[in-house]
Amino acid sequence: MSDNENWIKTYAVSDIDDEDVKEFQLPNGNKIAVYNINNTFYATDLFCTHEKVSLCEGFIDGDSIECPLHQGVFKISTGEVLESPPTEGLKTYITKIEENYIFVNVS
Amino acid sequence: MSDISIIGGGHASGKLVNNLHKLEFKGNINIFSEEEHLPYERPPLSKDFLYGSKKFEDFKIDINLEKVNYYFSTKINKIDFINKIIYDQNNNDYSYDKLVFANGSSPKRIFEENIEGVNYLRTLNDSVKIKSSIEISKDIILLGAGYISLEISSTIKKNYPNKEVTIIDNSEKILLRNSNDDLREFIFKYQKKNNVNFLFNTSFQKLIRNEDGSIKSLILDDNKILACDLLVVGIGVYPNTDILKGTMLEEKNGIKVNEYCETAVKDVFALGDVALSKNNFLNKHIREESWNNAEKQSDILAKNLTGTKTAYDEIPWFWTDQFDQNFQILGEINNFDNKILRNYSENKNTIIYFKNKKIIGAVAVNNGRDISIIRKIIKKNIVPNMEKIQNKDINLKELL
Repeated sequence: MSDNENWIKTYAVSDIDDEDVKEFQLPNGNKIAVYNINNTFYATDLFCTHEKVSLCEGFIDGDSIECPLHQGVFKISTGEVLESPPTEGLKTYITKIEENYIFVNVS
Repeated sequence: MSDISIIGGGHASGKLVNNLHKLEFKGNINIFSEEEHLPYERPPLSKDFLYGSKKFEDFKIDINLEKVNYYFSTKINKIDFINKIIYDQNNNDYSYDKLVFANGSSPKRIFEENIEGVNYLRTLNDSVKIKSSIEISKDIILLGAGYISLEISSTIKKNYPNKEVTIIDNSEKILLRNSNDDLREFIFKYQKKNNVNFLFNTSFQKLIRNEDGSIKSLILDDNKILACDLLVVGIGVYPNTDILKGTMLEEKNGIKVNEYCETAVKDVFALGDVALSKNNFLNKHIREESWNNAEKQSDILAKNLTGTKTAYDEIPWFWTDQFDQNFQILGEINNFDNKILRNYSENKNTIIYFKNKKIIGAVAVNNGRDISIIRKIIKKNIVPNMEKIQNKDINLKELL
């Protein structure tokens, strides 16, 4: 896969409000969460590593996302677990902005 | 560095050990567990593990056994607080510098003897046994309409929609404890929709056995006979305080501790289900009996045992998952003087409870995000804008 093919175009920058998150389905079928935190854009796997629940239903507090089911907390920028019950971190993706669109690197 | 002995090998105990190691505690740690397994979290026992979607490995608490003395299948029978010695079932003695009670609670039993087909759910082994019994049982009865029974009925119906499941309770409604009518209504709706049978205001007066001694049927108070090949009893638990009988720490409703998990005896602590803990939010002592309590008290006790005095400062919170719906309960949901329903959709609701214009608690159906925000509102002592709360289109986050 060429480098260009690794970058997947997701949402327009204006599609995601500050401190909000949106679900996106990658071409391979995997679902990710795309975040806007103070106009910096991040992407992680969509589902909490503790139970298969969408983090898009969770609560964003600064640079952290709290799972809506059992209140596990992850650091959005790194995916690390900040509060249990999850023990496994979230997969994160590198992002870039081009022509006002958020691109996610799936390599 | 002093030695710590922990009585009990459950969630609170396992997390305490790992938290002590994280804080670089260098003393010896002895753990005495009546079970033959490593510590584990209990919520899956009535849900995902019973259903089959989670394995023990998914919820066990890994402990580095090279760094602790783990005594499996060991029951502490006697405690000498004066000389700081504990004794196991074989009268082996162990001295300690600091002693922690993390020995949990036990299900209330209806018979002293073990009867084939009559089950209680507390341990991994209980859950394994019930799971295999469900597969071969035709007439399943759950005694007691508390959270355990309601979660088990949900799990059974998810796996076997056509199996008859009947819940019997001697009161007139489900969830007499830790609940309110709003929550009961939500939960009961899903139970009925999934064809769980309920018999209220009744109990059984006699149990009829087969020739091999196993359970055959129940005779109810009105002489009605119910066929039954699997009975699961979920009529509440009692704290495991029997070993304190005759000691200076004798207690009935749990081992009383302050917000630092300290008992009245120096160098003796308690946490988790066995602890009757000072809760600063409710301003009273309670036994929380929740995953959150075991998790958070193990964190603060580890800090207190390693020299950083930290108070338990949690608003009581627990959840129950039934029929793929998540119900969360935060804070005080009784004794309110006002409440507001935020009805987002048929399966997504939050009810917020107030006293003197301040939020004191909430119940959420499939809406953990609201619970996260409400917890912060309560902790920050914010007097909320009622107009905003009443408008479900306004994100509660605006109140922070």
